[in-house]
Amino acid sequence: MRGIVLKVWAALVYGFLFLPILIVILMSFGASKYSTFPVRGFSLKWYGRAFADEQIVSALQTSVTISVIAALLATTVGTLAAMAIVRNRFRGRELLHAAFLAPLIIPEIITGIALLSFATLLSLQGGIALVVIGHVLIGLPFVLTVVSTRLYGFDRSLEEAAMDLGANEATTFRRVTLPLIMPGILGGLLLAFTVSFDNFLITYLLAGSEVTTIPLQIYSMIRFEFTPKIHAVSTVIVFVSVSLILLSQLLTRERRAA
Amino acid sequence: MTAASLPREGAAPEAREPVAAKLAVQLGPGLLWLVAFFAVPIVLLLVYSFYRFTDGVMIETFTLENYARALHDTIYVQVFGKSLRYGLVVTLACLAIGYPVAYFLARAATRRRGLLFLALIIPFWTSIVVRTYAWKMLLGTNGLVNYTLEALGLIGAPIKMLYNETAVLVGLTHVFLPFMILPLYAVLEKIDPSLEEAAMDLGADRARTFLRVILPLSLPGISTGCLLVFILTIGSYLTPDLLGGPSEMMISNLIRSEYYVTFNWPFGGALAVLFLIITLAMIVVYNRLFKLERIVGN
Amino acid sequence: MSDYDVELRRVTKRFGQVIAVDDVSFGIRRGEFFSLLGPSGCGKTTIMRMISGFETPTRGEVFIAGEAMAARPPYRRPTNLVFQHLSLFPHMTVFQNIAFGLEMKWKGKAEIRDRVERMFALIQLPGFAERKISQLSGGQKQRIAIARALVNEPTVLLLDEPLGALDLKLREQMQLELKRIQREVGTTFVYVTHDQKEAITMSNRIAVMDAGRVEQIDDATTIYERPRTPFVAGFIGETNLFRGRLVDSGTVACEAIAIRTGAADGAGAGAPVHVSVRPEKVRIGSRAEALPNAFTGAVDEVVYQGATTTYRVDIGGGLDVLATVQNAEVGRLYDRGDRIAVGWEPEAAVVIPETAP
Repeated sequence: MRGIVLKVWAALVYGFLFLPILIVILMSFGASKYSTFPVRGFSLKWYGRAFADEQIVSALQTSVTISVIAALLATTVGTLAAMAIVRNRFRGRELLHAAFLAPLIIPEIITGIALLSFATLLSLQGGIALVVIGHVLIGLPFVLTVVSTRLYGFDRSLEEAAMDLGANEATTFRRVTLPLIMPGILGGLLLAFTVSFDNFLITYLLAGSEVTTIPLQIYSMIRFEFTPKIHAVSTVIVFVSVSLILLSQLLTRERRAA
Repeated sequence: MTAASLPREGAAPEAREPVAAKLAVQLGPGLLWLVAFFAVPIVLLLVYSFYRFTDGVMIETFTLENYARALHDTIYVQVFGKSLRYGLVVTLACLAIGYPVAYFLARAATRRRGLLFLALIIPFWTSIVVRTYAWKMLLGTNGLVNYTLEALGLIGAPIKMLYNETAVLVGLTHVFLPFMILPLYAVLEKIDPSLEEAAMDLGADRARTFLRVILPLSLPGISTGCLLVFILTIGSYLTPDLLGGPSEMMISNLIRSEYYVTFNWPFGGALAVLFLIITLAMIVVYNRLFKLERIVGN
Repeated sequence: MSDYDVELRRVTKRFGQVIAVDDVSFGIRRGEFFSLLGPSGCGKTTIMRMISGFETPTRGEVFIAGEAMAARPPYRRPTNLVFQHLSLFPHMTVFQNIAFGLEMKWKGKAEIRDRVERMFALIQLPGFAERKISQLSGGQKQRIAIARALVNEPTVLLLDEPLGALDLKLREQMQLELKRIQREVGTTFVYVTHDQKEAITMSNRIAVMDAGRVEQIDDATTIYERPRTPFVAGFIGETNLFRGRLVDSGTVACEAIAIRTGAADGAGAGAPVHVSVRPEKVRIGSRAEALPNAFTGAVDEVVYQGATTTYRVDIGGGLDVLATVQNAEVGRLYDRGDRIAVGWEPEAAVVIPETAP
């Protein structure tokens, strides 16, 4: 009996969580120009119009560019840091680990305006570089966490075996360690990409007038040009984000220790 | 194969005394990035907060007027107060709504659990922009809720549900609910089900088993979830902006306005510093009670 | 019936298509140390869970102290369980763990303190009250788990393979401990295990189970000396198992050889039977030659065990005989390839009819 109440509650909550997203997807297929209910007509025209829209396409390109760069940077820096933290004992290790996680817990507004102030001091304008820097800051914690987890479960005796067979440190890393932690690295990469791709606030604060990413474009359209093109674009990026995350989950699925 | 070379799953890797050069190479980039783009800028912010702002220009003289203004003017105090209040309300709402879901998930049959978990991370990873503006579709005068209520004959004319406190709170709860459920789930899942059976065997019915065994053991998850949701809520920008309109300003909206509209960086900086202090205070309190490492579990 | 503390009547348990327990009936007497013994999946754990209330029978009834349990939940049964992995509450101290069941019954502070202290004396761990669970060793946790269950003075104490996680020495110690505790409190113990040595050491009676059915319930000696089914013969200890036909009471023809046996109950001439001979009852060398059952063969395998040695001897016709001998008595070790005589008394050959009575 109690089980049923729990099940119903969970179903309702899941419904609550999915409803807004489903509405957007639903409306992206509507024929009407107005986003009202009931949704009449089935049409794919808004998808067509959305991707014919120069601003949207440009924003998409910008988003992908920024996110790829940010993800690569975050993954490289994060993986190196993970290796250092997991495999060494040194004073302040815990503190350092927490420091890397800080951008996650410090509100974005603070990170954003701080970075902007610093950039202005150096006479740099808001723009792609600044956005990338901000995205790397918030992507690092994810990469660090995922790769660390992978490293903690890593069997060091495999590396010892390689060295026993004649491989030096670098070769061992390349031929033994790296391939084995690669799923974790790739998983982290995808996470960092998605975090960057979907981000709003830091991007909004650092983009300046020239740079528009997809979330920013959607925001602008919500306020100034509210057409179902928004729903089409949103649906697309929802699918993109979710696919990347599911892929990341697959890659980082740990073998559960008995 | 000797016993020593058998895989030791889950065993902590041997930590070695670091080779300084290697460590520098590995940590260098990360450390540099953090210091240059995070630590230093925040210090700069702090410095700016003590400068003057006269006639639209920032002047590099030391003053405390920004803090005085922030702490005395009712508008700003109200905004901080409102944000903290929202933080509390949303945190409690997420806890009440999310705990049963996390428990359900943790006790679900393994195959279903995997699917349900994946289902949960879909809203979690959908862009906040999409999730928030979708509520306009739901709560707007031509939105789904009004449409349904009218269709069911419960109301005659559409109710204005947007651009008020409730809309913002609902939107915030929706956005941050997964941040409560996931840490809770992570902890609840690790609780050995046989502990519940042991309690029942010793005479505790379901309610007492929950209160005496499950709840205490899930405390780390509760605290992590609450910390996350609270800090995220008080720092939210987009949701109050889209769903609340001009009357619903929260801290982030305020700071942004000072920075980008008024260009009063010193004052904006002071507000940001105060906000930072509040955030850090919460983290310190949390760290006192629970190890910070728990947050890593996501 | 009134001196059965636990009674199962025609109990069956199905999980979907799988029949975990198949029409089982037996009674456990008050004060017994009763073991449910069998390989994994034989149904012993399921029966235990049905007694303690975590499962309900698909068919049949469970009685405890004469009362039908039906679908009563675990917290309202006069049983307590010592869990396989102990399941001590990690967020409570030792005292709080032990006191938990009493708190659930709303006992007063003074009474709780008193009873818990007596438990500490019983399990011989004085002064452990305020310790955290994480600070305890395996053996100590074991005893705390027992105390937590026993303090509630249950009618029946169930133990689910509790010694599995301990190393050999500790296990043997704990076995004696458990016996001592049971003798002192006199509670009926129902012990679930797959370790037949353990069951034989500790139990008054053993129920040997296989594939959901009870093969035999008897005291340890009877189970060992007079197994009633081939499964029981093979599961308990080592045995030589021969298949053949009963020629008459006292002789069984097994393919190439004829075995002189003890009396065969419940089987007529010509009936298919098994014959079980325990290896320690098999003599070798000169001592074997004069026995009614004597055969010669080549030593296939030698396993030296310190005080004893077990030989596998191939006596031809595809038949092997295991003989476990005392090294001190025999005086020498044989090698692989040596031809020796093996033999046993008729009384050592137990006839097991194909269909158990």
